This record gives sequence, C-alpha cells and structure tokens, in this order.
Amino acid sequence: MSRLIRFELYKLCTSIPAMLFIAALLLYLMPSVFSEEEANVRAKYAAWEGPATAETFKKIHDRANKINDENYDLSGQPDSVVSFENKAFAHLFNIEEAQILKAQGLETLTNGLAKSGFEERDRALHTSLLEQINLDTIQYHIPAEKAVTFTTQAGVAVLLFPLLLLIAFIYSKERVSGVDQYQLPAVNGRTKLLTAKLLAGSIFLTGISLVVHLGILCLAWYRFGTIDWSAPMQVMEGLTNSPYPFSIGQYWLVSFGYQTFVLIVLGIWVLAISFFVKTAIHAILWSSILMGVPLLYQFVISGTFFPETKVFEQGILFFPSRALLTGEVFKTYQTINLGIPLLLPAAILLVQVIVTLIVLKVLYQTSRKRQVV
Amino acid sequence: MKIEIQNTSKTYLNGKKALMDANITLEPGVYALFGENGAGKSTLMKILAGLLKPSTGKILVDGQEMSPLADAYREKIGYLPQDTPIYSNFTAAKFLSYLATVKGVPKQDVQTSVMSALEAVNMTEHANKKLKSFSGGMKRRIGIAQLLLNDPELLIIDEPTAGLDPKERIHFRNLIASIARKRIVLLSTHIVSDVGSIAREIILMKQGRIIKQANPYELLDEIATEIWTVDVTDQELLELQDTYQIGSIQQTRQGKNRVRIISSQMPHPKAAQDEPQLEDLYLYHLDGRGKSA
Repeated sequence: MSRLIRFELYKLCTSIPAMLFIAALLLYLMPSVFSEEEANVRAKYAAWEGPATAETFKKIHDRANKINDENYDLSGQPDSVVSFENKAFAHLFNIEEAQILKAQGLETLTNGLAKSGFEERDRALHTSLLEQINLDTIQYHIPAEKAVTFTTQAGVAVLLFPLLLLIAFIYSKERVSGVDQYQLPAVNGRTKLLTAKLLAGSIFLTGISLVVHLGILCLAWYRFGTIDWSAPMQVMEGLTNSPYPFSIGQYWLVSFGYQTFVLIVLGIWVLAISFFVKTAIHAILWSSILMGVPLLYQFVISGTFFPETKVFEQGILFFPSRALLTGEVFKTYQTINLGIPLLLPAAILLVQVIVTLIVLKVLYQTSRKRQVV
Repeated sequence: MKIEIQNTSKTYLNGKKALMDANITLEPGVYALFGENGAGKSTLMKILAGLLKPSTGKILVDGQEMSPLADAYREKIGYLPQDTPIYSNFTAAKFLSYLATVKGVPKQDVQTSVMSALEAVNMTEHANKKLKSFSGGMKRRIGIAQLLLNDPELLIIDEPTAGLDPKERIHFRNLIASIARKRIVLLSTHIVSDVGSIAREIILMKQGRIIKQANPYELLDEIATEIWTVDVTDQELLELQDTYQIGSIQQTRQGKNRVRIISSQMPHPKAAQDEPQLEDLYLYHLDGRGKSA
C-alpha cells in the first residue's frame, strides 16, 4: 500500500499546477507579512500595554479624539504618525469591544430564565466558555493576529482551491485517458488503488496545509522576531464576540487542525466527482461549483438572492469550502440541540463526516464493480 | 490453465447487442480473434479482462466458475487495451514499476520484472526516458511490456501490432510464440499474417457472434477448393469484381492483373486453383459477401 501511495503522491506533486501553486503562495505571502508600517504601529500600541481597565480605555478614547480633532497640532510630524496611532487604536478598541460583549453576554445569560433542560445546559456551557476568556491585559498582538488572519480568511481558501481542482483534474484525466484499463484488471487496481488515491490526496492536502501554516509562521517570525501568541482570540478583528476561550496561538492550532480536516473532506468529495464525470472539464466544472458557490456566493451573486438570516449564514458553513474560513466558524456562539448542546464547529464536522462516509461507501461500491465502456 | 466462456452475451444499455451467446474454450496457446470493427472482439476481451460485466453467461477457470473481478482471477491476467494510454510525465521504468505495484508484484521483484519486461520489448536503453518523448510504436512496446510484469497465465491483447513497424511486428510475433507455450494468449488483430503462423486456433467473429473457431489449417482446408488465381486484363478485372469476391491483385510483367478470387465455381476459363491463405479466410468469412458467388 505504501508504494501505491508514493506513486499517487508522485502524480500529484510532479504536476505543473502544484509547482505554480507553491510559487503563487510565496508571492502571496510576501506582501501580507512584509508591510513597512508594523514597527510604527507597534511603537504607538506599546505605550498602552498593561492592565485593560476602563480607565485605560477612557484615556485611549481621549487620545483618539484629540489626535483626530481638526485643530490637533501635528508639531511638524507627518500625517502618517496619526495614521499609525489610529491603526493601533483600532486594535485596542477590539479589546474593549470584546470586554463589553463578554460582559453583556454574561449578564444576559445570568438574568434570563431557561425554558427547557436543553436551554439550561446550553446557557451553562456558554457561561462557562465566556468566564474562561481573559481580557484583562493589553499586550501587543498584531503580528500574531496578522499571521492567523491570513490562514483563517478567504484568501487562503482561494489559494487552496487550485490544488483541489488539480486533484479533480488529474484523477478524471487519468480515467478519461484510459489508464484505468491497466488498473482495473489488476489485483490492486480497484479498492486498494482507490484507498491509495484517497490517502495520497489526504497526505497531499495535509502537507499543503502544513506548508501554508508553517510558511506564514516562518515569515512572521523572520519579519517580527519572537511573537507573543498568548492574547485571547477575541482581540482579533471580527472575533470580538467569539465564545471560545483560546489564545491566538491555540486558535491558530485549532484552526490548522480544523482546516486540514475540512480540506481532506473536500478532497474526498472532489475525488468522488472526478470518479463519476465523463471528462476532465466536467470534473473541474463540478468541483468549482462545489467549492466556489458556498465560498464566493456573496461576491458573484447578488445578495438579494440570499436571505441575510443567521440560519442561512451558519447553514452555509456546513459546506466544506465555506468551513475552511474558520474565522466565520468560530465567530459566534451557536449550538445544535442533540439533547446536549453541540457547538457549531463540532456540528459542522459531524455532518461532514457523515456525508463523507456515505460518499466513501458509494465510491468503494462503484470501484469494486466499475466497468469501462 | 483452462478457461471456458459459456453462453456469454453483452447488451449495452442503449440496446446494442455487442456479443451474442459466445462459447469458447481456451487452453495454453495463441488464440487469434479476427473480425471487422464492431464484430465484438473488444467486448469479448473486456469481459475476460473484467472491464465489462456480461449480460448473461459465465466464465469457468479450470472448471470452477469465477468472476473476472475476483482477486484470484485478476492475479492471473494481463490486458493490453486497443490504444496505449500512458502517464506522459512518468519514465518508462517508473510507469512499469507503478503498474507492477498495481498488479501486486512483490516489492523485491518489481525491479527485476520491470527490467525483464523492458528487455523483452527491446526498450532497456529507454528505461529512464519520459513517456511523452516516445513514438507511437515505442508506447505500444511499453504497453506490451506491462503485460508481462505479473507473469500472467492469460494474456488478453487488443490489436497488439497497431503502430509497430514490420521489424517490431516480427519481434512481437516471436515474443508471443515464446510466452504462449505455457500461457493462454488471446489477441485480436486485423493483420492476419501477424499471428496466423503461431495461432493454435483462429476465432472468427461477425456482428457479435463467433462464426468459426478452429485450427488455422482446418479452416484453410474448408476453403481449399474455393481459391482461384487468374491473369486478366483491366476490362476483365472490372467484370470479375462485379461478380466475384476478389482478394489480392498484383501486376504481372506482361502488364496484366493477377487476381485472387474466392468462389465455389471456376470464375474464369483460365483460372487455376491456389493454396488458400489466411487473408483469403478473412475475406471469405468476414468481408460482407460471405460465401456468395
């Protein structure tokens, strides 16, 4: 089996698109990390490090009001200095917003009355999570936020899609080219070869995910030096209402594991598509629809076609390509009622595991009986 | 090894009957499948290779019914499809190593079996060249090489000599003759001279049916009285072509046409009977006129 997997990996890794991907990745990473302004923003931010008290935030607001007043005397400093300070404040205000949202959340949970046993357990879980979030300190977190933001938002997903399309293309082309006429009559050419393809695809995608994560980590370290990963994830833009008591570093690790799992799921689905379509073009088309529509629907189709409801916004996260955006998956508190409250990220994984098991069953059944016309 | 194909038919979903009630017994030796395009040769071969499920019928291996999808069956076969699909970015050796692995050749034997297979098709010096740089004939030789990797007992070869030059065809014929001593080789071809001399039996197929299966000499004996040659003028040739089934036509030194005619009656007053050849057999049964004239 290991030799079969090596051959399947060789097919994937020696393809020109894979090489192009690595090049594109490097080009994409460089400007995202190597911005010149970070040191200037750091200098402005560092002045406020320490306890994150109401008094500190009042001083920050006062300072922000002062420098943004049209009568503010720059005393010969360039406008960019104010810009750097405002950018530092934006990050600091995230901490304040997270504090407020946490306090509001706890107050609502404490004051409200649970109407059912499930609701009681749900509130207990939510409260427990919120209480573990420590937002008492202001500490410089921008490098960690930059690195994590890169891997948890749409950019990285868009970057990974060509690789998934590559899997669809290579395997559908292999079948269309007729090479399967050598494989299918061979003793290992059906289920064992399918297993090898699935494992090779999973190893390939895990490797790429690892390269992306380690790549950004190394570049961030190279650029910023030692990074403090200990700030809570709620200080990050867009995650101020997240209920998960992770530090940015922990969130980065969780996100890496989550994305890798979802990538593997997506890889299996795409491989299944390539198994059933008639041409490589069809494989690319259907794979693009599977991946692209859930991820990019807001950008390519008018918003009037989509209800802006919480159910829709969270329902679409059950599609693996959307679930790659862990920034959305871990954004807010949401549970599914399974008697016990099942957190949204776990529910998404559960649904994807079930669908994937069904897909695998169909794949193996088809592979055992496959014919060539 | 003995393989029996019993009452096997294949009807496609669109209703096309590609194979009808085939009954064949195969034992070590070369079996040549002759037939026009669409006669059902490839369908029969694909059924034997486990690439197509027959609509009816069964396959017996040494008297035991066995599915072509069973591991025990697939360990015994090698199949070469009509075209030669390849991985263009693989070298010849890597491609064969891959297929050896897929065919279940033990790890320690892969290198040896790859080198032997390459040697058998005179491709050793090209072992480390990428397949995309190969000509059609070279790719075909690699296709033939992959047949030998797992030392199969049943070789199913669809149009093996397509794309090979005359020298390679002779080499291939000799290779098949040597490997068929202990194995069953079932091959289809349009070029009857390629296999006529080495075939244990010839199987003639027409419109999905097996119309003849016998030793080549027996089949030739059947038409021994129906092959004629005669030297005729161009005008006479036209008249003969309208009436009789014509085989080869050669120009004589006297500027006439030496014509082979397949007919149960003497086609021309000057016609003389000749030794039947496999091309005559092919035309007699398969060119559409059958035993007409």
